[in-house]
Amino acid sequence: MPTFVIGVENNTIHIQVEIALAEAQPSHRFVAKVDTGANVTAVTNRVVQTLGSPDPVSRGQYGTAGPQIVEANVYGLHVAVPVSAKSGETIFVQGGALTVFELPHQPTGYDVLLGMDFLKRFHITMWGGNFIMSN
Amino acid sequence: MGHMNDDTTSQVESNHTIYIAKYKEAAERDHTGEVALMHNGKIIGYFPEGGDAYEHGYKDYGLGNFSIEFVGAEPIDLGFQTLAIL
Repeated sequence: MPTFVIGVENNTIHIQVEIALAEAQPSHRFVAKVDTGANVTAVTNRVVQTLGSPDPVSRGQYGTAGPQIVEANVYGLHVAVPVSAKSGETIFVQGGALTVFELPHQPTGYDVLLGMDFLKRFHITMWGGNFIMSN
Repeated sequence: MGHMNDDTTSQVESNHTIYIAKYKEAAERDHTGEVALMHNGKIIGYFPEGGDAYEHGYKDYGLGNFSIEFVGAEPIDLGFQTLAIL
């Protein structure tokens, strides 16, 4: 079973991912934050622009801390995660298409928020200070 | 992006307008939690995940020529990230 292991730093998990349009190559690498508290996967406007500002497929709505609702574009993308190959190098394995929401803000330190819609596709263990992901 | 349509925003927006007026009530009665694939103002089918609807829409109509609706979806919860919005 291909497995990826990375240390949890400051109780935060950041990994590199590759993102591409379903029909496009090559992929582009971005830093992603693993966030089990988010129910969807989201990307920054920088990711959207890097991919050539593809056509959105829907509009979504973000809840806020207040009564406001913030609308956002939704895109169909492929997100690939790193796994360790037998050779020892890291390769990226692409999953199926995912609908991804554009973040209404630019967070510091990452461009992709990996939410539960993506994480539920994997076998994930957190143990001994490590984040361990297998497919 | 071989099938790209220059008028895609209107496909998303016009389908959404028609969805609200014509399909929303019945869709939420029978398909809440599913994802509707729409093309030219009609619901083509319902899928369990957005990615499934996207792949069918892309394959059958090309990017920009379809849209999807998250049936009965509540506003997205980004957990603590919510505090960064607004």
